[in-house]
Amino acid sequence: MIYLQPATVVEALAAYKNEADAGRQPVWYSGGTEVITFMRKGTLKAEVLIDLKGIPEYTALHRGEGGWSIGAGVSLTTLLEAGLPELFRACAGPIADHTVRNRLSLGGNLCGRLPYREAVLPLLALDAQVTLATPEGLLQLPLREQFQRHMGLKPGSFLLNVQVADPKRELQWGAKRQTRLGPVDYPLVHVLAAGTPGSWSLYISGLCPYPISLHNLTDAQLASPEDLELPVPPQEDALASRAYRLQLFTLAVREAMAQAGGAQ
Amino acid sequence: MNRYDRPDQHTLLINGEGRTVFFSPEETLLQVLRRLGLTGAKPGCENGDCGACTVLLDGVSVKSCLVLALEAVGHPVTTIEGLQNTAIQQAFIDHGGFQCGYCTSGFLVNAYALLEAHPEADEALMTDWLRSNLCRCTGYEGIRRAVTAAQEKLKNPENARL
Repeated sequence: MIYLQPATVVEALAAYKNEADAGRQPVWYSGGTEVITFMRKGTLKAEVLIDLKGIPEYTALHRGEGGWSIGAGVSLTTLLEAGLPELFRACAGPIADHTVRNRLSLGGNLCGRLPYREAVLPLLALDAQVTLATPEGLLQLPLREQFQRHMGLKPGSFLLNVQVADPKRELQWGAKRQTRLGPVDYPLVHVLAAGTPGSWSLYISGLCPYPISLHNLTDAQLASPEDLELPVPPQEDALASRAYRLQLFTLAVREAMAQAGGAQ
Repeated sequence: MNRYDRPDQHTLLINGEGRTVFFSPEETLLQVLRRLGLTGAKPGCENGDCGACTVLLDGVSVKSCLVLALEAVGHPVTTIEGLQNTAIQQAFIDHGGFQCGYCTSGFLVNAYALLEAHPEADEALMTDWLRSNLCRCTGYEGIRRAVTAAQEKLKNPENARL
C-alpha cells in the first residue's frame, strides 16, 4: 500500500490523478476509523491512501460573523466542544463513542460508506453549504443539492469544507435517536424535526437504506406520522424488521415534535 | 508531499522516548506498539469497538487499532506503560478497577485523559467518555469507583499530578 500526505488541495488532486493514471485505486483518507476497519475486513482494497489531514484548510475550524466554517477533517469531538448550534450537538453527539469521535472527522461521517451519515441531519436542517475540491476547481453549493442519498462525489473530488450559518431565531427543533443495544450503536431510527409551526421538516437516518428528508409538513400531518409517505421503503435486516422500524419512527417523530413544540 | 510506499524505518516518540522501528504503511499503531514490546495496549476487537487498545496521541485518547503507525510519526504517543505510578493507576488497584485485566489498560488510559482534560468531570461526562471502553467481566462499578476516587484525590493540591 502507498500512503501519501499532500500539503495542499492542488497536491491532493494531482496525487489522485497521478495514481489513478498509473492504474492504482486511490482512496481519500481522513480520520481513518472507517477505512482502516474496512481494510482489515477486506471489504475495501486501497492501493493508495491519500491522507488529507495535512491540508490546512481541511482541518481548520473558524467561527465567523453569523456562522461557522468547518474543515471536513475536523473531528466530531472538536466540533462538539466548539460551541456549534445545539441542534448539531444533539444529533452528532451520539455518533460512535467519545474515543472514536476523537478521530472520526465530519467529512468521514458525511462521505463514508456506512449508510447512517447522521451528521448530515443537522447540517441539512441548518441549510449548510459545502465546498468541494474537484479537478475543475473549488465548487461551492448547498448541501441539500449535493447530498442525494450520499455525497455523490465524483472520482478525484473530495469534500473540503462545510459552512453553517447560525440557526434562525424562530427555528424550533427536536431529535430522537433509537438504537437496539445501547447508546453506542448504529441507529435503528434517528429523527430530527425542525421548522416552525405549520411548516416542518423531518431529517431521518437509520429508517431507510440512506438518510432521507421530508419537507413542508403540517402539524396535522405530523400528528399521524404512521401515515407519512416515505420516498423509499424502510429497511429490514437482522437488527430490526420493517414494521418495528416504522413503529420506532412513529414514536420518534412524536417525541421529536414534542421537544420542538409542535404537534404530538 | 510525503510518500511512503514500502516498509521503512521510522522513529516514534513513545512515553517520552524515541523508538526507531521498521514498519509498513498499512500497519496500525497498535501492531507496531506491540512489536516494540509495549503490550499493554491489547488487540481486543481491532474494530474500534472495545477500547482495549486505547493510547494517547498528542495527549488525546485514540483507539490505536484505528490509527496508522505512520500517522503517529512526529506526534507523541503515551501508552499504559507511560502511566506507571500515577494516581489513576493506584486508584484502580485500591478500588478494584479490574477483574481479568484485559480491558484495564484501555480504561486507565482513557480515564487518565478524561481527568487531564476535565478534572471536574460530572457524572454525564464521565459516562460519555467511559462508554468508549468495554469490560466483558462487567466490572464497571469498580472502574467507576476508581475513576471517581482518583478525581477526588486530585482535588487535593498535594496530589496535583495524575
